[in-house]
Amino acid sequence: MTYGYSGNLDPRKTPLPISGTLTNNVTNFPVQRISNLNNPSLRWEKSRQINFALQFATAGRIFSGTIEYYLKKGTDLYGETPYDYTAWGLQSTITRNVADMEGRGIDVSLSSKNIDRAFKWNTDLIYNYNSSKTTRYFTDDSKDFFGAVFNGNTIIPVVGRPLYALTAYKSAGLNNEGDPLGYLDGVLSTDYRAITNSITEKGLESGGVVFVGPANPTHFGSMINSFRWKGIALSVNILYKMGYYFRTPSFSSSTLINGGYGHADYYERWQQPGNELQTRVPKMVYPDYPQFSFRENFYRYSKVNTARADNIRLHYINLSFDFNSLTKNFKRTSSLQLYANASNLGLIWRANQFKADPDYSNTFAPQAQYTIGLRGNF
Amino acid sequence: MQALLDDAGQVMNQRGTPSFGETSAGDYFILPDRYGSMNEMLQHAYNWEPYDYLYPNDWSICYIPIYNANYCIEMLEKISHSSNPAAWDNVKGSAHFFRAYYFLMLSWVYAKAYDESTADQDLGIVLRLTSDFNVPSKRSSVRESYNQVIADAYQSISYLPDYPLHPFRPSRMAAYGLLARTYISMRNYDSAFKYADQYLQLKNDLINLNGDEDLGPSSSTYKFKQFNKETAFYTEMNANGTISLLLASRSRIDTSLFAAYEPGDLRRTYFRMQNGYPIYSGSYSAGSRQFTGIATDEIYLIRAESNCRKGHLEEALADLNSLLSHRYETDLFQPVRASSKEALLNRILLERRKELLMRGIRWSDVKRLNKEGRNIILNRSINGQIISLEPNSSYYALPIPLDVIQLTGIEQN
Repeated sequence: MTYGYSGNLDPRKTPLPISGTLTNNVTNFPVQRISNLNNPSLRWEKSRQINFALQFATAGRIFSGTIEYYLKKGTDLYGETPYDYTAWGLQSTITRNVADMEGRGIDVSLSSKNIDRAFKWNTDLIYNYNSSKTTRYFTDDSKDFFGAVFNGNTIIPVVGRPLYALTAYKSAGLNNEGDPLGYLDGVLSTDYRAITNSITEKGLESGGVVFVGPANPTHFGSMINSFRWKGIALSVNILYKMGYYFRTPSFSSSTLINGGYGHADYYERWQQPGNELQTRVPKMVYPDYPQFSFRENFYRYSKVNTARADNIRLHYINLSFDFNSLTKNFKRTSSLQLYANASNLGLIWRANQFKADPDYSNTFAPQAQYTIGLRGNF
Repeated sequence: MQALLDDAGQVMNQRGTPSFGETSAGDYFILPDRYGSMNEMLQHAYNWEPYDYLYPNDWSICYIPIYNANYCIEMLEKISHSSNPAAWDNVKGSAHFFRAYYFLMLSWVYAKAYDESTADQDLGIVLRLTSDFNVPSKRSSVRESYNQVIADAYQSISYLPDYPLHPFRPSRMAAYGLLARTYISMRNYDSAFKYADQYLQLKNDLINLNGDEDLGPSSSTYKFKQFNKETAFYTEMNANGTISLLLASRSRIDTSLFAAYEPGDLRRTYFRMQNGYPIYSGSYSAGSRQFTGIATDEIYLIRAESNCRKGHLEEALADLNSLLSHRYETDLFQPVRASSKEALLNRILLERRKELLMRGIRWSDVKRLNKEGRNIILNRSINGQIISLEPNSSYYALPIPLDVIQLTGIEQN
């Protein structure tokens, strides 16, 4: 059993403002521009953790492993929080000590020798469970702040909810004119600006926003199966992540028209009454009309564009052949090995219906890599 | 620290002053077929209907230079003056000047017109005098707001050089101009005269529209060169908030105001006509951005008006005619004569409106002149309906952003 206590200070967060150096292009005078505000009352983030660990093995180590359980308490955590920008109008939010958290987790690692003869088959399984929630939020101003829906990269200011969670506009699909429907004071509405404002004003109580779930995996780990027969070795690693949610990008009229970026959902967009029964993608509008910026934002961050992110992916396959196994004449100090491996082989299974890779929803997933090589030690 | 105050492009000068006042005033109108395509915020601002709007906005933008000023003032307390007296003085004077300048801009937009009899009760702006954001914001009274502007401007005078290295930088001349501006918006015409006069002793040259090195090339859409000889201190309206009401794609200059530029008045060439309606292109920004800084023409008009109100008609006439002789075609210029104090004052106020078009000044003028009993009623015509804003309406203190109200608990206008 161990007990740890640590502090964490983000070097970008200081009691003095941080600025960058530039030159004014009219006067050529040197310019300092502040990028981070000074916060004289900033404290360190602190965390304490207690671990219980257990190691075990059966006779002959056919089955062995460790199990670890931990409890974690964090205090004075940094978080983005809206603040009175009368103090400095360059940002409407600021990072400061905002919350306390509580977390618990289990780390399990198991090894088993399934077959242990001339042909060997081993399995290593790693399983992690991790959950955390906000236990206290410091400022009343921001505890129900939902002016922006949360993407899971800031601490959720609601006590009892996961520290990092995804929220979204509550949505009822499309109406028969192809416009997305939200909720305003409990009633279906297309007044997206009013919905946004009521969320800013009343937070969760507005009924216009919902928790989708944790933004980070709660259950995750890997499984490695290794096979060996004479000089041939094969190992396969599978990663799994479960119990979390993501937001998928979709078609946006303004990014298409102003930015020239399309999205495949364009082909699924609402085009005539009745389509609303089959699709979630709204009709295309001309974003010249600025009120549509609220509509586009609403759709982009609405519940219909979120899904379970659970997935299993094939991380790598390694295959090797060891020439030492062919002859006993090789000196033991040298070796020669032919190997091939393939990595980033993509998803085997995903829970979401968007056919999206949840871990790379806005970017391209890393490409599969294949290597073949000869390795020698002499 | 000088470098913080030299960030003219993004923070101190060009990002810049509020548009909410100018867009709420009556020197322009929205083309009827464009009204429907504007977002709700713009429609409400145009109709003088209170509206819940959020970050970013005039409020947030004006408080950025105020932060830089506060930070410099605090840091100077830890730096000995003798280490570099000239640099220390310039930072000190500039910081107080910028703070005064933006507090005044905010007061014109978010507070009622200064009224000696109610200035203690009327709500002013938030006077932030520290860089520590943990200090809560609260609203001061109108008197406290203007007193702070005056105190900071006075402070700056004793530290600044007469003339700046560049019009982005404050100077003693600009501080006199700022005080003249402040006092005339408070209807304190004695002090307005005093500081306008001090300014004009340092700088009094005007651009002659009959021919001048500071005029842009005749091929240019825009009339003037930037940083011309009349520009004592340079700022522009910021590009956020309601400024898109003033876009040439949607708005035109009020036609009756345009008609007030007589034949022979070369300021008619500030305008280009499109489908019979005038578009303004006479800004000292030499572009489509609205110049809102302190310039010599404004100070002539302040001294003329103050003198006129004090009964010094000859002096008032001299200033008015100095200005107009640089604005009218030389052959057609007839010096103005005063038949009465009232007639001269009317003419000066008309010239003020014509000369200082789209400089972020008119809103404050309408407020102040209605306090003088001029009974200026602003009208909008929307889908055939006329909407009016009555003199001294409470809406003349424009609404503060909703998120600021919620986060601070300060009182909404």
